[in-house]
Amino acid sequence: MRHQPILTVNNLNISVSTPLEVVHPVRDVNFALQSGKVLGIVGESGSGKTLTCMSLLRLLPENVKVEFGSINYRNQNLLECSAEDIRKVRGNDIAMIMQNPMIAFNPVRTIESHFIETIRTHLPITKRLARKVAVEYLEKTDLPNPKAVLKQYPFQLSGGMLQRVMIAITMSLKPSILIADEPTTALDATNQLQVLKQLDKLKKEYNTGILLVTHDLGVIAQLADEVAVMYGGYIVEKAPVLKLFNQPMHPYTRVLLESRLGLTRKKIQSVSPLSTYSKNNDKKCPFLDRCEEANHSCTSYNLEYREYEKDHFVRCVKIHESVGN
Amino acid sequence: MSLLVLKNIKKSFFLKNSVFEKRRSIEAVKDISLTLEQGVCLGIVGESGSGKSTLGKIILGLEKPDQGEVCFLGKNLHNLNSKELKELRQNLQVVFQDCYSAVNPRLTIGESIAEPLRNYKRLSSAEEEKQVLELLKKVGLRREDIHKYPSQFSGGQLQRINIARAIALKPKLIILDEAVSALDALVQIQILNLLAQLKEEFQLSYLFISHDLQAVNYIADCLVVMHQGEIVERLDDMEQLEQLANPVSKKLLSSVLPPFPGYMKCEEI
Repeated sequence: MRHQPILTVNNLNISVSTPLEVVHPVRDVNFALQSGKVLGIVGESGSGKTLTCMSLLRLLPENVKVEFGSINYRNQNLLECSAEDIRKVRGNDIAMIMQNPMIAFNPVRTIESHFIETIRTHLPITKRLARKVAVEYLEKTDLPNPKAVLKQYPFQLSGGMLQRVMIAITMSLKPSILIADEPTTALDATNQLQVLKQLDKLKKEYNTGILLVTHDLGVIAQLADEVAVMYGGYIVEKAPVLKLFNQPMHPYTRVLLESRLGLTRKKIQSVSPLSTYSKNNDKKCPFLDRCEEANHSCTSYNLEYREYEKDHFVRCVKIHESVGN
Repeated sequence: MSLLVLKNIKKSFFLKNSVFEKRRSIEAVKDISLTLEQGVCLGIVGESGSGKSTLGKIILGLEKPDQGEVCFLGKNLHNLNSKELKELRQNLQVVFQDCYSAVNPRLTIGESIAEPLRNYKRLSSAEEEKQVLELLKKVGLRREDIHKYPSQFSGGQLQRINIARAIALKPKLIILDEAVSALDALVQIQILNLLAQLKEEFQLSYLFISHDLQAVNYIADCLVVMHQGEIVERLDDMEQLEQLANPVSKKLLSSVLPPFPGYMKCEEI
């Protein structure tokens, strides 16, 4: 049976005003996140994935605005609720971990004080109890000697350890949604695996829904249940993970999948280097300039986002044509 | 004659955690010997903190080893006067991971690329521009880009500019210190393909330093694995990658994520 999604994003459009022009880095984004599931968002830098995440918690900078759309969490539109309400949601219901753990911590405070601050902001408990909670969650991370870690400063820990501490802090509040924005990009391969393992644990033990943003398809293959591929601000394809890897439909997804490095020494063809997104709001396929399969029908493009099979959405006019007729 | 010979290189750093603590030394590189031939790409893999970047800096002459010799083109790099060193450095270039901090933000990229040419060659400005344009073309950038500033480029484009600068003097050896680690998958492939093509064209040698075994596997001809300042394993034939036997190498191998969903690697470890 299908569960009610815990978070739904409908028609999200974001605009950035610069002194010269207004650009639209996120357009028509729709997705739903279920509890206990991982939705992966893949895309290259500049495809709008981080802005999408930031908008969920209303953390966008001043010159960036949500034009229209809605973000529904437990019958509440996060875009319309008061500043007070959104503060309660942040951390407690929807938590976020960032790409670079070195920057996310305050360098002059110990790990312990980060823990206590976070826990006591949301729960009415004493410092002593908060410290106990901190030890308890840090033990679950499998970090060696958790009590000693609590007394240390962020710069004394490695990036991988810090990222695991970060996850432990978010875990201590048992959020129902975790937004992980490139959680392993700054880490080396062995650390990456440990962080992924911990995210997996979080999902299984606490039934947390995870929004996993990354450009690494290996990470997606490892963790995600469903994948949305973003390009030029649009979700160009969305499907369950096995279907996406086995039957990619959109040309961009195919290019992405073909360009994975592996342990075989196969030569990989590189695609044309230039990525120039159309900045104005014209309804043109964002991948048109780089697409090798494009033909005349692609130029007059209506960017319909169509369900090609059950749960498999594609935004490509050629595929609609070949299937529709 | 081998292009580069390292003999028993040692380097340690001093550090202390607090004002009151006695300073202690950390051996970043312990007794490393290596040889690199012309036209070969040697991969150096290891976890963060294994001393691979320090080794790169020693070869470049940016760090002085406590012990040992670096022989580049038959001369001991750390035993030369500045004039001889300058002469030798024509043949030795580097590309770093952080492409943004590797270029001067106030110079146009044309000027950045021309810098090594100005250091070593006396060219007329027309000749210089011609060479810069040629280099830009080689790395897949456009003519118009010559007057742009670094902030107008993406990471992948800037990394290509750094590579253009590195090949400007037609060096013999380029040290690539995590040169593709910060880039997206698609851009990574482009850069790796570009490097492979340039290697063929100019008979370049690379020292490819990375923690990513997949990228190393794609480009390198042979491989050493470093751990805590030591070389723990060497591999001369990349086809035998799966046969790496040292526990450190095995850990690196096993942390490569499988390319398809369905294998839960997390549970094994």
